[in-house]
Amino acid sequence: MTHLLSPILLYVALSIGAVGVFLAMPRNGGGPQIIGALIAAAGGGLLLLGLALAAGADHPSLYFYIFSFIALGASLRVITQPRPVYAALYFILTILATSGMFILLAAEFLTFALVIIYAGAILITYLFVIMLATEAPTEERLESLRPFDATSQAPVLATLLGFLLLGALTSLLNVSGGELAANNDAQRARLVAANQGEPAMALLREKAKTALIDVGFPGDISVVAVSKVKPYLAYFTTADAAALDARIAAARATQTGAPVDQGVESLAPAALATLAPSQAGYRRILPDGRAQYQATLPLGIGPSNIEAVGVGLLNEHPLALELAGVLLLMAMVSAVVLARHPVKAGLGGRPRPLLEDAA
Amino acid sequence: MNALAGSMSALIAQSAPSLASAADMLSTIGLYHYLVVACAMFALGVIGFLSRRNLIIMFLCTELMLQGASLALIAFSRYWFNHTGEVFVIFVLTVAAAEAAMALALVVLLYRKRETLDALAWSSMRG
Repeated sequence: MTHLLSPILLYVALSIGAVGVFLAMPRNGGGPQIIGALIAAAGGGLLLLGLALAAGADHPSLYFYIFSFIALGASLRVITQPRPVYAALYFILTILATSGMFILLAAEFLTFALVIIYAGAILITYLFVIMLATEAPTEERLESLRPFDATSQAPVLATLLGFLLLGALTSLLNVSGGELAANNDAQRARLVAANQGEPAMALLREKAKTALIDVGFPGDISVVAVSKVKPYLAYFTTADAAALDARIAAARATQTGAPVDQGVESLAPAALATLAPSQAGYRRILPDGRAQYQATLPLGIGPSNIEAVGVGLLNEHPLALELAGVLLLMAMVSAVVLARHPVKAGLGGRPRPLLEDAA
Repeated sequence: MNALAGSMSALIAQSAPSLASAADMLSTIGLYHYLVVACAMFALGVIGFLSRRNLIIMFLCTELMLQGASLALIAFSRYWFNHTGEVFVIFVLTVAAAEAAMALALVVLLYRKRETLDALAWSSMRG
């Protein structure tokens, strides 16, 4: 059992990070917040550096390290920043850095969904509530922090528990060829191939048919299968195989300068180019007597990210999608019911003071 | 890196076909990179949730935990070329939106009751 990353390095980096996060916790009257943040940054940097060295030539792109450093630093500021508005803004920074990592993972649709929904909608709601639920500044207390924001509760225990969790998770995953990963690349490749479900393949056949008709094949072809190996090959049959054979023969004759049968429309050169090069190799006769042709598909015909997510969402999880809609409706109704509930302000029912001219 | 990706793609093409482009396959150590960052974001969210006393920041920390979970889901979905992980992140986003709407309505209600956002002001609710 080999480790991906040296466990000693992992534990040292996590310990440094734990000390840094503990020191960075807000304490009344400042405290060593900046020093703590620097130590935590050193721990995080050591961890990322160790990962990069352990990966060797196999490391992800440099942008990953930039985005992850920003994401973790901003997360640290979310939990240590005493002022809630700034914490929310740092959370937006975390989201932007995470969506950068989503782009590196080729999840383009979710990148934009994350920026629009999280940074654009949810965080704005948070900012609204922060501003609604903040005491109006008074003459003598214009900028001071509220005591429950300026102190943290049980910082030692929280940091210890959090980093214990982090250490357990990262050590569990720090095993190459363990239960979580495939034993070798060939096994993983087999599993990856098995992961391509029938809806995705149906979509690919549909796109292959469109692409073949675009290059000049007759419209009555039907694509039987598409090979999953690049370059993609389409296997298709046609209603009138004799006519297609004649057109292919005419196209080949035109290319070689041989005499062409009059009255036979030759196949477009682009379509001919997609067929397998050998004379006999482009088709075979199926057991039921029909001819099955084989053509090379153009590059980039595979499903795009949005198509793949759409197929996954609508073909494989339609019920969950409906339930998500119901959940959102319930949340909306309950939020309205909660918010319009009349509440007597304060414990003694005293009226809230009107916001006076604070400036 | 390119040489390794090339040998990987050759391996994939020989052993098992794949819809996805083999050249940008995520290696196991690459997956581990993303998982470490995801776990760290989750742990920071836990620490914040346990140690902060402001109700709104406590909810922000739950969103941070959701972010870590989403990142792990996307990384695994990339590793296995299985888009179900991405579909799940859409549901995570839905749940996060529903949670934000309800939780913030509750926060406003609690604030109007006690005139403070301090979680300790509600410590009488311990069961």
